Amino acid sequence: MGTYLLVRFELFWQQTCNAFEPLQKFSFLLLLVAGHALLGLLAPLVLLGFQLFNPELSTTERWPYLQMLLVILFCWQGGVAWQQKPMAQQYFVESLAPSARVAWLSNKLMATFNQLPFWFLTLPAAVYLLLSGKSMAYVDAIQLLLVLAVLCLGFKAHQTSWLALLAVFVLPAISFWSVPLLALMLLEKTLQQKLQGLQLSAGSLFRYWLYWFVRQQQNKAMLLLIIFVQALWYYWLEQQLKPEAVLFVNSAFSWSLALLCYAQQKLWQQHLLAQHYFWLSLCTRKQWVLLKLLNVLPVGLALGLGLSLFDAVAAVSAIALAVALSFWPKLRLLSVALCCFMLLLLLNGQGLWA
Amino acid sequence: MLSIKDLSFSYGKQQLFSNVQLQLEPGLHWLSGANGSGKSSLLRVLAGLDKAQQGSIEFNQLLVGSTAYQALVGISADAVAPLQDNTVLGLLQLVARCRGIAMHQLMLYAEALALEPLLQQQVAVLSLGQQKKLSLTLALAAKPQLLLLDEPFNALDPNSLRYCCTQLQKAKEEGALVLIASHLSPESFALAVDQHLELKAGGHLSFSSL
Repeated sequence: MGTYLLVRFELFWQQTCNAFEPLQKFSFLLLLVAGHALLGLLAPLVLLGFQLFNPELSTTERWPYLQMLLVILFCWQGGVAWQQKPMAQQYFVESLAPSARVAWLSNKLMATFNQLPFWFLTLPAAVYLLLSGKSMAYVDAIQLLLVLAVLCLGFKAHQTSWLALLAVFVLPAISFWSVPLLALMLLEKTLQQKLQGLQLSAGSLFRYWLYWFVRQQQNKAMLLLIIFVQALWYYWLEQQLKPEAVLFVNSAFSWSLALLCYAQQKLWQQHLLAQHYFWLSLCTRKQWVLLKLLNVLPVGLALGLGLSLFDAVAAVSAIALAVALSFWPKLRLLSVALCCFMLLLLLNGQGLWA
Repeated sequence: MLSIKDLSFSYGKQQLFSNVQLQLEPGLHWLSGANGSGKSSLLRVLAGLDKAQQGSIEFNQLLVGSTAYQALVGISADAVAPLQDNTVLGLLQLVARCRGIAMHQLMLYAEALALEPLLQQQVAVLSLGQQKKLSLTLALAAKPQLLLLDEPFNALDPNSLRYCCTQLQKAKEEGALVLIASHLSPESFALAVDQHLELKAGGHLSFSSL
């Protein structure tokens, strides 16, 4: 039993590494950015934590920080889904179990293990809210736990609610925010069940891409991450920052967005590559080029997001970077860009948050 | 002896078979049926990978799912080899650890099925036939008492096919119960099959003449 559980953990770890493979290339860069942010005395990430747990704030004031937390939850939910193996592989892994009970137990253990960071993120927040002594904070904490319980226990990992995500950003700061959120999640679940088996036909290449995009959990998670990064910077910008800090925020945002777009497009390229011969036999040359060009759609989305919230220079630089990274086959460009970004950090990033 | 009583299994509303009664002695048994008749599902239920809604399965008076039962079962369930992001060697080592099989025993089968030059290759890049050989190696090397094979001969080259038939015959002589699910006829292969079962749509099991 011990050997089998160890093997399951090793497989889980391998799956996790594979799932996040498109982002691994940037882990060093992301580590540097995070390290830089945390080193500042009033680092925005720390600020986010303090504000979320600040009992002096009213619900309305705390809402943006709760939004951040909810988006992290949904991102994680998408991340969990990444680690799901095809059914055939699941059968194989289970066939190695010493007994049906151990197979069941290990499945549950892995699911719990998947969700640990989920609880780790949310439980302290809920505890702080509960201990703050304010009645509205108490309500927030209960609702947070409710949403968490529904996500962890009530839904399978393959559901990351688009509607719920939308609700996080469009709902007004009402006291019982979890009610419409849960209703929308239930609605999505019902819709999914209704539509099961009625898959969209690949009538056009765009519809095929759209179908792939919507059905792939990593796409959802990636989009959630893009929105998360965007929203995070947006709220940081609302703090009283020096102009230099705004420059830093914009450049860091551009980078994050560009890298996420890049990773997103790599996923599409991987998907096309896996079915290379199928598509070559099916498509005309023109259609094949079109399929490859569908890559730019996430960049278009990023452009829309960038232009709506940030200044044109930041948005355009993010898009230019994303496009360059996407279509440049070698990583050398990434290395050059990384050096430029580090220089920017050194010149503008120190002590800007005071 | 494999004893199946009142076995019913369905995927949601789709009933694959109901109230199946079957008793099989050790030997080579051939299970045929049209595509989608439920052969693979029956094998998975017998291997304890899917749970039947109703009925009982016992092998040598051991209940399906129990530790003692699972130790006796081996299954080659799929057309392609599992865990495609691993190397062939990695997969062999994984099975050796989990099933307590000596690596040299696995390597014997791997060599016989011409998998040795592919040990460092990723499973994903193997051809369909090579993946099938890998899947068979993993199932055969454990020398299970209840060996369940789903379409084992698909995509195999003549040499590998001959080797597999010899190994299955050997397993039978050593007292194992081998159940082979295939849409093909058993007469096409050099196998002394003891019993030919046919699974028809709706889950009716019947015995065909050999």
